Amino acid sequence: MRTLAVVMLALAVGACASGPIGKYQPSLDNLIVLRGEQFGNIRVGEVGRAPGLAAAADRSVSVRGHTLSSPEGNSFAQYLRAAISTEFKAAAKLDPDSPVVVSGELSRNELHGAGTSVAKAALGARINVTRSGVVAYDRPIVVETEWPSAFMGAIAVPDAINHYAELYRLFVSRLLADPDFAAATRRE
Amino acid sequence: MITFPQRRFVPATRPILYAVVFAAATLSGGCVTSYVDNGLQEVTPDQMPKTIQPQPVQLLFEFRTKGTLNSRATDLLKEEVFEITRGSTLFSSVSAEPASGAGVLNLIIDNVPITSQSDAATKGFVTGLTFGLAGSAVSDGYICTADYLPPIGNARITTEVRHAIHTTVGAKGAPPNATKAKNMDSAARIMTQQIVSNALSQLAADPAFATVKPQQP
Repeated sequence: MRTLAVVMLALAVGACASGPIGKYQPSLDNLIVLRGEQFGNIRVGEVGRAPGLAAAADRSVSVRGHTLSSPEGNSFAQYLRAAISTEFKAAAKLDPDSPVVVSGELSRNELHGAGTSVAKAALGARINVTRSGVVAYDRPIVVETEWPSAFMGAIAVPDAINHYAELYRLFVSRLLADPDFAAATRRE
Repeated sequence: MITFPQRRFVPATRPILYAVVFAAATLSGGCVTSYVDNGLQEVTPDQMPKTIQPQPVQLLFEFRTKGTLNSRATDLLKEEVFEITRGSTLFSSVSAEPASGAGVLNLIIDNVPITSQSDAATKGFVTGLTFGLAGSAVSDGYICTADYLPPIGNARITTEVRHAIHTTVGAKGAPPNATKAKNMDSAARIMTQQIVSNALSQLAADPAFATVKPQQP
């Protein structure tokens, strides 16, 4: 009976998956969008933690006792910065000398994977663009996602990690889809 | 809590398998064996269709699990995929960075669970698997999609290749038409070599790829 209880507990909790998520990878869809003439060259400035976001929420998120961290300076704000940089770099539109600077503040970083039927994650940040020091864009961007979850942690935890990491790509896609953001980066 | 090495390849159906393995190991003992399906063999560089004028390419790679980006598995296999692409001789250079006159090659490997023989057929897999083996068996399907954007023009060339890895737990017999791998990592790397080289070969065989022109300076 005791053995059975241990087995059931292991099935419910799942394999240990604590550690950093994988490095951000650029996507073909974002690259194709960024290659368009509506986007100019940029450099990426500071992306930090918004005052309202707890330091712990920038450092890690957790799901069913497994802690996920960022491979970029142990900060998910830095991971978001890397996401934006990586996409612009892949499209050859990252220029360290550009007068157009994209910066931001991470304001939401949530992973809710305890549910046995549905899990959710959310990412939010205020993004601003300055052109030679003048603000050309300043807007909050929020992306949310949900997916079917499972009772067994061995299934639910890896799923949660993948969906959470993919949220950063969704965030960049949402940002690039904003015509005002594109206009702010474009050469006048 | 069960602790597994973090830098190991874990396919879509594998977490279930781990749970089963744990239960099996706890209650009776048993072993896990991975087999790479024999339906697809590696295309070696000398078997690859020849390109008259190889062009540089910017390579993007991602591994997905059930359609969702799996960034950890991408990190694990990325360098391997780059090496396979470099070794194909289809391109004059292969880089993750954009380069002048370079096309873009996007390689995606999506790990999808195969739940039954009919499910395999529905998803287009031709596997050597026999379901209902003695002991427990699970199959993972892999769909490799290669999208190529030439240096000039917008005519995207797309190819798709399917493969499978079969894993048995305490099975008394091996799946037919499959080759035993040393371990799961080894099976994943063999599968990657075979599926990517076939995707590249199909790409190179496309008449549109053969007529790709270099970008004028």
